[in-house]
Amino acid sequence: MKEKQITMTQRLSEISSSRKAEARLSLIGNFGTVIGAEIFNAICLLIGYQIIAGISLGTSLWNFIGGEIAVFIVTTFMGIFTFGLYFILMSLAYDQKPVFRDLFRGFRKENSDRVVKMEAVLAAIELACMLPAQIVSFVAGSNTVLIIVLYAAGIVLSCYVGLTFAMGVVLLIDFPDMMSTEALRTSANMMKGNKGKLLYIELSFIPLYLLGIISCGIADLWVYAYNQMTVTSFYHYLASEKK
Amino acid sequence: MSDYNNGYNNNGYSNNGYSNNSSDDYDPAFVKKTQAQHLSRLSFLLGMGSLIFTFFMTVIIPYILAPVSIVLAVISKSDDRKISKMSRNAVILSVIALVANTAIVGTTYYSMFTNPELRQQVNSVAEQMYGYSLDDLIGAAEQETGIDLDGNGVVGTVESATDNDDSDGGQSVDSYEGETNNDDATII
Repeated sequence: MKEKQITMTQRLSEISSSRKAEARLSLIGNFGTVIGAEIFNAICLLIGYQIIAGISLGTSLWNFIGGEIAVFIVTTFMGIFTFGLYFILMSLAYDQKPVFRDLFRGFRKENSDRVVKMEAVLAAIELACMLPAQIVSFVAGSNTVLIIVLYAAGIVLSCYVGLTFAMGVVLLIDFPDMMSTEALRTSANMMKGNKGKLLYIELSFIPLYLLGIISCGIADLWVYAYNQMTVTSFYHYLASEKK
Repeated sequence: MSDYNNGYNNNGYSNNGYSNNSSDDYDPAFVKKTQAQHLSRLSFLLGMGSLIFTFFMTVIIPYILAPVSIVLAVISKSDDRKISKMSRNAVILSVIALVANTAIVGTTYYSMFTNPELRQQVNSVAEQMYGYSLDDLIGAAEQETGIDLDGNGVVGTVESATDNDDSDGGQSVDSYEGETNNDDATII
């Protein structure tokens, strides 16, 4: 049993380091475009959060409902930029020169419909995961233990859903004719038995993210690019494995 | 077998108008290696910078430069798994800078609450610069957060070892008490 565990850990470590090596190879020399895209993304997200904060400011029921709707809209809208960012990373993975305007690929006519649909579904699922905790927090704000438990359950559920559909956006990029529902279904199939591997990869970035926190988020510009590129590289690993 | 294999690597994306760099004198592996070395060098410079700024007692800058240096050192590993000598040195310098900087900050913070002379100096400097002594600021912060920042066991009360009498005109104390409307919130 122990032997099996060691082998499993070694295998996870091997996959993680090989994906990271590939990601580093793709990223080196191209950090400028990726970090520029990330900064633009972050600014948009900041504006989005300001809008959410403005709408949900207050304790009335309308503030709560308005806040939740704003979260849904902003998350869906930001998904379009996530598509663009992954497009840049995919072009790096295919040894092509990325350009900053690729960040806006999601707004193109042929992509916008598919991307918005997919991001809306993902945003709705994420919202549904966190909604029980938020409702309890709104109705009975003093019941701290219940709120913490519900938030923890929501986060775990959200992570599971996130891992299941992690390849959705990348599939939309790789297959321009693929519809959003098909991409989500394919992602779920691809991730069957591979969620643990992706989770291991994601968790292995925690030390680097902690360094990013120490540096007031500046180091995170490189870490986030590295993380996303590794996910893209993991997609290629899955695709080649299933071939 | 699976749906996503029917067009992988042979789809519209690959033909999106970009051309691969494929001139005869272009060696991608060599270029990548050189770029990785540049990154490694930058990492080393940042590591050295963080150590230098630590000696100059600039608290914030080493905390920014050192993590960036470590991250760049990790990323500069390129395709081979082994970290280069320069990157390793960068990590060592950055870790030293981070530890030394944290030690300096910790020691200073500790001294400020245990050494009366230093506290007096900090109070007078803060008062000259901001118009409020450090004791005033800590007292206000304690009252605001409800946390005993100076470890004297009383929130909102700063027991400085210094003789901080009414030479500051008592303005800050009065205004502070007036705001909080709390008799316990006295600054000695």
